[in-house]
Amino acid sequence: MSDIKWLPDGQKTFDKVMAAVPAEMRDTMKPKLLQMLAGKAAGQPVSKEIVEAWVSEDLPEPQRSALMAALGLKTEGEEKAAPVAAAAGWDGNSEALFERMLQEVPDMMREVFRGKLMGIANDKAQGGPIKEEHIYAIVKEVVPEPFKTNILNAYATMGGVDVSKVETILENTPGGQEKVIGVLHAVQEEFGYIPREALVLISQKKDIPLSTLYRLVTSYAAFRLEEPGKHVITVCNGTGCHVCGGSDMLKTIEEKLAGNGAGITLEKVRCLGSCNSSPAIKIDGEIFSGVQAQAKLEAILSE
Amino acid sequence: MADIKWLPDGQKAFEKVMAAVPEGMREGIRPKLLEMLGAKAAGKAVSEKLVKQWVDKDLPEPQRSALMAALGMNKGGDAKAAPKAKKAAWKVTGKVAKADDLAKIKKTGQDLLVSATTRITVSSATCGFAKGAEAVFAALQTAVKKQKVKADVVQVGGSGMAYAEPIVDVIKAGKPRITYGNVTPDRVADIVKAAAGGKVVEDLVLMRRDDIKSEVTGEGIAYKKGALPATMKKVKDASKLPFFQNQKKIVTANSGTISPDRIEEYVAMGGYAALAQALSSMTPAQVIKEVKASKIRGRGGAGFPAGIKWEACSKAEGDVKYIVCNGSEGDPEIGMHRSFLESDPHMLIEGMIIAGFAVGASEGYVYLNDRYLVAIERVEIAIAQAKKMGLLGKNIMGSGFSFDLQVKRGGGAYVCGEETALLNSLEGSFGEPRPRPPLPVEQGLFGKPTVVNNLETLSNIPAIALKGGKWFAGIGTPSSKGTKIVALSGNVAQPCWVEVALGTKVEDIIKVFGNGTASGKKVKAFQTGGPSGGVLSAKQLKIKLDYDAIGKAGSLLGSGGLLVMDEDADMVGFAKFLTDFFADESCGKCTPCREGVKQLQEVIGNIADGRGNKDQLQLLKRMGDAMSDTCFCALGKTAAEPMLTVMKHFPAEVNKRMLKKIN
Repeated sequence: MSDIKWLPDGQKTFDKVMAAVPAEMRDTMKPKLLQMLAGKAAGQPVSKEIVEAWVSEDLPEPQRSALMAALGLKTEGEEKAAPVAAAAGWDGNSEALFERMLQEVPDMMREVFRGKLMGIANDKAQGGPIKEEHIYAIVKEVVPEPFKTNILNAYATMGGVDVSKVETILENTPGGQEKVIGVLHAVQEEFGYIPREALVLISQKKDIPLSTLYRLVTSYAAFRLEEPGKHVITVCNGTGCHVCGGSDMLKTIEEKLAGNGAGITLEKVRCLGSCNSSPAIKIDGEIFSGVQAQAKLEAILSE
Repeated sequence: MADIKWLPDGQKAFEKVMAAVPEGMREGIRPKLLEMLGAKAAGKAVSEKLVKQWVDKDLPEPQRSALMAALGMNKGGDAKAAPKAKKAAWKVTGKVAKADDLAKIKKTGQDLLVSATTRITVSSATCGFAKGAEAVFAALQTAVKKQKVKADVVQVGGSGMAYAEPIVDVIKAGKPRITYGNVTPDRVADIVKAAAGGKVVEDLVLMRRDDIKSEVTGEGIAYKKGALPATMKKVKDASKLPFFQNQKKIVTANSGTISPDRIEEYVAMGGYAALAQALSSMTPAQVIKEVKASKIRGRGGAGFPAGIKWEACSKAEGDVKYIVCNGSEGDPEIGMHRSFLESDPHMLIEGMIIAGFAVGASEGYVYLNDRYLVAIERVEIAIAQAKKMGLLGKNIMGSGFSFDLQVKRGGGAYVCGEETALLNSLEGSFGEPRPRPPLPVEQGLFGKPTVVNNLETLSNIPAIALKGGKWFAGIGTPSSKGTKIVALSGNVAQPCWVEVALGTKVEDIIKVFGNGTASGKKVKAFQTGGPSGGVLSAKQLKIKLDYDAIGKAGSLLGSGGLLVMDEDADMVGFAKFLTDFFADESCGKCTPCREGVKQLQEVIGNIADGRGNKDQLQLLKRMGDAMSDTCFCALGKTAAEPMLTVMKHFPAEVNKRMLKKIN
């Protein structure tokens, strides 16, 4: 580094580049960038031209475009006028995710990034609306660390889920994959279900692919991926209860809830362990035998 | 910013928020926060309430929680959490550094079992909770206080009489133990009053016990001293009731008597004496020899001799070995292992420590069904107590042998009852069976030699270690030794769980313990061994509980469920129900099972809908054969059994049903 010889305009241009780097990273990045630049200069004094050539030829996208804009250089893309709107609209929460991603970009470069990233998003959507998964893919494929982790962590809190609780659970459960079923149980006990945000965080912290986690929670009957309603009705669908009319009871409840079951989660389990109350049914944590359950059910439905 | 109007309390609250911001950042962040707050206020004056709302609703975590704490607010989540009943913290008295120390603990336990004042117990296993045992327990605590009666109100396990729950027992020193059934909270005051006055509530009383004694350990309690009080003469003696006379209690000897949360009470009934004997006067090889001599077979399903498993594991090479208790119990009709474990968790723990000693394992896992929350909690407490007392951990009773134990909650998959799928689940992976070889005894959990035994098998180990294999082999039939816990459910007058000697006739179990069908009609069919077992007809009621006899009849002894159906039962509908169960539970690893169960569902659905024919019955047989030849594990191999056995035993019913829409 010390072997860099500066020409005044080179030094000035480089300072502009540094100004575009977020303040908190500036000191870490500086030696690295200087090293790259020294390589480019190969012993010659560094001029404005060398810095500009280095930025436009050696830096990866989207930093390249952003810095070129900061240095007042024209990029090839500008002639084509980058699309800055979602071609076929947004799907789900994707627009909010996109905006949150842009927040990591320093103010002065944000609009340039917006155009670039929107272009990538539109490519991914292939004519359809931009979905949440497209934005996640961009963050994972294009965004460098530490912004990637910052953004993913921020996404984890965006659904209104308090991920700090998941973090606490993870801290209390050290270990690898052999602990993950325990973690999932703890998360479900905390939230009543397993929020997507929790899966994302567990995936990052335990270094288990999200797809593996998804397969785990869907292959085991114990886990719910959706928030349960205000009332939870669990009908025993074990053999003993079936013989005592449990399946008929389940059918009746399903019919009653059809179109009338907002806020009510109906589940079936393979045995409530209450074979002395067959057909058994659990309503909001309390076990009833089929006959008494009727009155309780009516009360819930008339709420 | 300038346009914020403050109310005094609002300004104060905001300053509190600022004070919580680290000093270096305070001034930098102030304008931003004011801007946010200004937007929230939308021109109105800022009150404390508004600041709090803003912090709660608009700030991101973890700042939100931190600031809410700074403002003295409850976090959103805390208010929602239902208040949990506070359980008395457990404690243990004393430590067992050597075998002789058990005697002192035993004395403490005996004093608990027969309290100096009065001991009132509530049967509190899942079968009791289902009938309202918790409300009865709470009512008892209130009644005792209100009537100023000195008594310990204690939650104990279940006695197996699930049909009579909630059950309350009253124990007064020197008097017979009185048992009440079908107790409701409004009758509790009567019971307390009668107990204080030495009387009996006649319309609720079920029986009395003059003493209780474990046949295995020889320990017990003599409740009655002297003559029988006149007030109790009319009360039936439990030892003369068929419900108890016809049972053979080895593993359930303490169930319903001791508190699962007091290790001292287990010790009072002779608990941990077997462990003391094994560690002090037996070698691991001797323990294995006794288990082999007992001829005990796996109580989970397949019935593999446990001693042979242990021997293979003890000979396998490995720096670490594991003992795994299979408490997955996916069978959808058996509450008994759950209730048993909730009643006497130490029996299992003692068995697992002895197993560890015998095969040279240093660690054990108790894998439990995800829904067994009460059992999980009680086993966890029991393990913690055993550790505290020095019965688990390093250098147990000074023997130099160390063993550690932990509970793992499953994920809720039937296939995890299969031992290799269970091992996968323990490792945090999918519940899918593994190829064999290698057998788990060679390469099991984390690739190390592992013994996987059913929880009932392991609970029998203390008895075998204490009384010897020969004694154990004296119970049962030539091919099936010992006892079996049986859960009786379905159409029976008295659903219950009991422990009987192997070799007991199914007919007798239904009659004596179940008191026949609930409807009063004749038994038409029954099923043993859970969904994987075949359906048997009333003609086979004389069959004995015996691995080989039931296997020959086309079913399984399995884990001990016994499901009864009366004359009105729809057999095709039943087979369809079980096929749907398999379709739900197939893990999808192997094609014959994954696709086979779907095809079975379709064909059986046709038959049930009245659109079947003879060819379809033939097709079912061929599919059953193909699946049993090619499926990876027992789930798929036996998936066609329910329908095939229904076809075998009830051909006329199947024929009539399948032609309903065609004729």
